[in-house]
Amino acid sequence: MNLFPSYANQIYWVAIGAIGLAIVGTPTALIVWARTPYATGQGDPVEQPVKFDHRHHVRDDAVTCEYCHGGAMNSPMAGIPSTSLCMNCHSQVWPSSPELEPVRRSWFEDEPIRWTRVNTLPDFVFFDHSAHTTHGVGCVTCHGRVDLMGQVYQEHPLTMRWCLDCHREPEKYLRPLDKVTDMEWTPDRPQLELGRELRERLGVRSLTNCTACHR
Amino acid sequence: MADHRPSSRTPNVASSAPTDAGDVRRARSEQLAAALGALSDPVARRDFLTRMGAAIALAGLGGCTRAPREEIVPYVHTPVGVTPGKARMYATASTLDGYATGLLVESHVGRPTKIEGNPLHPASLGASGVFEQASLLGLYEPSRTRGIKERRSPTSWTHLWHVLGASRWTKEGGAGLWFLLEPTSSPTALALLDRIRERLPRATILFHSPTSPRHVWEGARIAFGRVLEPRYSLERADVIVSLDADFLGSGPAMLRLAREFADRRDVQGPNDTMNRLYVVEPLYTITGASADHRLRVRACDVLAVAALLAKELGLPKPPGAAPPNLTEAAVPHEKWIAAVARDLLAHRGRSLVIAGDAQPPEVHALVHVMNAYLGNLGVTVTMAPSPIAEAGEPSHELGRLADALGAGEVDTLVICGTNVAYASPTERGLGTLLPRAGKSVYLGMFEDETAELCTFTVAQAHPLESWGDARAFDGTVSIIQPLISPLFEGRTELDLLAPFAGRPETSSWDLVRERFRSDAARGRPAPEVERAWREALKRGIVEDTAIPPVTVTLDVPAVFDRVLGRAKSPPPPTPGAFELVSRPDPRVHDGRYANNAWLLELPAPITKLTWTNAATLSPATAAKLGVATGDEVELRSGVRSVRAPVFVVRGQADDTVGLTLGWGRRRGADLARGRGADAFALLTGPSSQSPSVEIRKTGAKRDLPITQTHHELHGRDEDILQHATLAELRDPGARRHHDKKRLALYRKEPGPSRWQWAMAIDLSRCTGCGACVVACQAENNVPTVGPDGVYLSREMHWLRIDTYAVGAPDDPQVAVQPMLCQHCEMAPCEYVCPVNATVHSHDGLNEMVYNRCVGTRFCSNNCPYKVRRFNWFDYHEHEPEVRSLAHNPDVTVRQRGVMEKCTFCVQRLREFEIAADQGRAKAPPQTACQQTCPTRAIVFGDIQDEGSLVSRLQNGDRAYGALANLGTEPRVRYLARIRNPNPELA
Repeated sequence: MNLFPSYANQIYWVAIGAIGLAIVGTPTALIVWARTPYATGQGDPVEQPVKFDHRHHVRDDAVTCEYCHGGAMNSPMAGIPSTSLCMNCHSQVWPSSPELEPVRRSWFEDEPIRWTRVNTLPDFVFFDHSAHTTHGVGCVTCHGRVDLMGQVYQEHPLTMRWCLDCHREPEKYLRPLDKVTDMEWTPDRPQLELGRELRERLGVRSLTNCTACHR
Repeated sequence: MADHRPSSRTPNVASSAPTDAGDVRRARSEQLAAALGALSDPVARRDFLTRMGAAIALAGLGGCTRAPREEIVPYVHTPVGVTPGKARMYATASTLDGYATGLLVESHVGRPTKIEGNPLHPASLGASGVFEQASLLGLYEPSRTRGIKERRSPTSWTHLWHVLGASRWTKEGGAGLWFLLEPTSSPTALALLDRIRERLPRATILFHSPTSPRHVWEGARIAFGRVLEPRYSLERADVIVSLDADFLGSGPAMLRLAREFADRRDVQGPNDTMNRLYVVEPLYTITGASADHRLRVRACDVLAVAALLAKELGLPKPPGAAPPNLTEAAVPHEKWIAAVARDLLAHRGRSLVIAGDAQPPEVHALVHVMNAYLGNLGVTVTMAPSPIAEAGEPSHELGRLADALGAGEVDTLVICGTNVAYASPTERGLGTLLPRAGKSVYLGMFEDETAELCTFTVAQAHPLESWGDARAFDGTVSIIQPLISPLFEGRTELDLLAPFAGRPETSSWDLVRERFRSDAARGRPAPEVERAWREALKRGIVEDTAIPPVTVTLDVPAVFDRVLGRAKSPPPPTPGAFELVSRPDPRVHDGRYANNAWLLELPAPITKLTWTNAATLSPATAAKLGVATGDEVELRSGVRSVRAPVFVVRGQADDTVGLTLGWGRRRGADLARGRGADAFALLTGPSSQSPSVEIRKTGAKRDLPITQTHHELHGRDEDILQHATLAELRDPGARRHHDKKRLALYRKEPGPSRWQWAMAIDLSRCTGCGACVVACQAENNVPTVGPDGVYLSREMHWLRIDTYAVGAPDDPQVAVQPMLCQHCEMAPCEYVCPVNATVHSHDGLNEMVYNRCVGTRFCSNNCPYKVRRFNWFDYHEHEPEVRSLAHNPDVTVRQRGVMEKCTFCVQRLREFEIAADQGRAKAPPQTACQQTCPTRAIVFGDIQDEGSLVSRLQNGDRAYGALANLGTEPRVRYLARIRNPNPELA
């Protein structure tokens, strides 16, 4: 008497195939998944404790990036403005707006505003803003058109592959130093041509060593 | 090794007590059935497999969550000068036994993260030692006591003063009020003490530290009639004789002396000269390891050696006949001593004899006579008043307090900073007498032995949380400024003394400024004084405050009288007894650092022992007692005894037992409690005589956490640690051939870069003090693993100091070699990593990429230097939050399952490169180990730049690569150790 029916063989092969597929497919799926905008948080507007609108500040009021994010030019961290910086204007402008209540509370209670980080890198990545901004990498190149964002979101995937795209060929993205904070700048001649010239002039190194970012 | 350890698989079955054999069997089978039930029942087994499968699948899916949103918390008001992301350096100072060492402390947005030496400070010269480096971790120690406690329950500052009643004392003139302070050199504290004496003339102020140099002060009093301290100028000394002086490893000027000493050991070419060091000592110290000739004698025989040396030098004979036993103990070494004497005489005015702090005053006095006779006084050694308040006066003797406590005369006792119940000879009995004070207040960092016996405990602020001031060994004043507000509501000594001085509402900041202003004013206008104050804070020193040396007159007859007097009354010899030599521990000092994991896990310089002390014995003495390393012995002195593991140290004097102070803590040192043996228990009063102890083997064994168990080179000196004598270096025929080129198995692949980083380590300069090990740990977030981890060889130090025994097997010289990742240009580790987690950079670094590492440990197996470390656990995961504040934010905190190793402080290199790219780089980058090294043995830089020091050293005569015969082409190159033996003794 046969212990197994004849279709047991098929089950066996299907099972082997399924296991093989799982072994290959699971890591592949995970790798692919990690790069989806859902996993990277790309394009996902982030709730903030204050309804701060970059559109209004940048476009209507022409406040430059460095006014609030001064560290971007000389420090690894771009920095979030202190409450006192907000109050520089808002003690006079909209001093009683309900939208600004959290800022006033912070000011009077001496308690910092707890903002939510939008562009997050893992803790083993050490990104230096000043190294980029002083070498012709524009704010908009990584952060996108913040001046058009009501609620700020992460424009790019911020995966290592995305970083390396520029680190391998910086000329694809470089711009003149006086245009670093310009949100609307476009090259007046082919980017690669300009980029090569800027790369030469600014001494931009193509850093692909691991310890350039991982320390 | 694992044999001594109890098996973790020992079954734990017996839960109830069965009455007979049948019951036992039944009980056992029931238990077995219960245990096996889950597996033998088919349904349960399937459930188990299902659940396991689900668990594995879910564990995989654990990666499928989005990273949680992080917060950014900006300032409400950004402090002036602070840019988040950029570190700032502040100058301050730390003190040990009252003497200051200048520091520069790195602060990230108000959080001190790294301590360096202050290049402008005379006691630091830019270097720092293990204690200064590790004091950072002490700041963030979660077991520090908080606030104010009365008998362990929290109370308030107001209540404390209500009970103490500072104002009431003025009426009674302070009778019954006693102060016990640490020795201090602080001008502000001195002013307060003067004020207290004025207001409360009947109060008593005492100072206590078990390690203050009382014998030095007394020795000067014998020789010069007043209390002075010697200041050495080693850069001028060609021949140095140390009589039990560990001047490279301890003392207030240690960092400076090490630099001066090393500068005279640096021979780059055959025409350079170097100094010669003779060391006479009982235990093996790092000074002994740096010696050209070392004589091991018992501590009590050093006087005899000094006397014989004086005789051989031809000092005028003392009047009257010398007792025969004066030099008796030194007679077997007469030839050695005579040769030393001839060498000293040949270098009159360019030589130096140094006596150790622990030696009796008579030895110090005799050494002053010898130095004067050799013309060294005023040249290589000058005498100057001590910066310590009331040095050498009776207020530094603890006996009076013990007597007064015994007689019930102490109404209120104020103890500041000194854990006197532990760190004083047990015979003094303070551990039992303290409760006899009516009320007592203890200002301390921990709830330790003293806190337990005092009515009130006030949390003491860490130096990085305090305002204060202190003088260096040469008198230079430094302002101590805080880097952070007190984390544990700590208060300073000044805060506690001020109310007694009638200044209850004055902060220590005000007191220090006030004192500075009155000292600095000297008729200058206020704005100028304010400028001087800012300058003092910025530079870390107050200009022109050094205490100048004084001219002295030597009283030779008085010295001879005392020396002969001492020799005439030798202690009665006890048969079967051994001399106990207890010195401050190189890691925990007198126990005050016993709560610092970096120091506890720092291998002791010669023994490489961590997390404990041990009774060290010479091989001959150990053989006589029938004990070996790891055996437990009982050391008995009179009625008191302690148990300690034996550690056999070759090169230690016979018939002595060494037991360092500071271990065997009973309270207040959570990390060190119960580890090692308490040497204070065996000490007898302030006598300058080493106590004798009896030793008995208990039969028990102890597992010793040691980081290096094998110290032989097996003839591979040339591959591993090259050493030669000065004569060999000068003789071209005898010169060794370094770096025999061999066929390389590996490709050579550094790429083009603006910089090519490399390191040179001068083994002639290195003393093996271990400061670099702690500096590396602090800079790179290197975890500690605990004694069990060390026992399993899981220590994480990126940089270690290997010690090797060179020469005679029973009395070897110790040669030290800092060992770190060699950044091989053809690195064996890189070729075996299956995931490319260790690769080479264009600027010559062997990179370790934690986020790629999957933990195969192949790299570690293939590394011939054994410098790669594996994270067996998440060492940082469960640490208290406050301790994680010590982390360097520029370095990844590694998690479980990844390899790590020296990166050449790549975070500093990249920071420098970014600054250089922006045209704002000031100084070339320094690695943490290089920066702290007292002797500048470690040189780091760019070898592409032919003018750089590292290039010149790497291309010099003495340079070689460790294990370079393997074809690894290391970027770290060592400079052979050169010694300068006396041809007469060779």
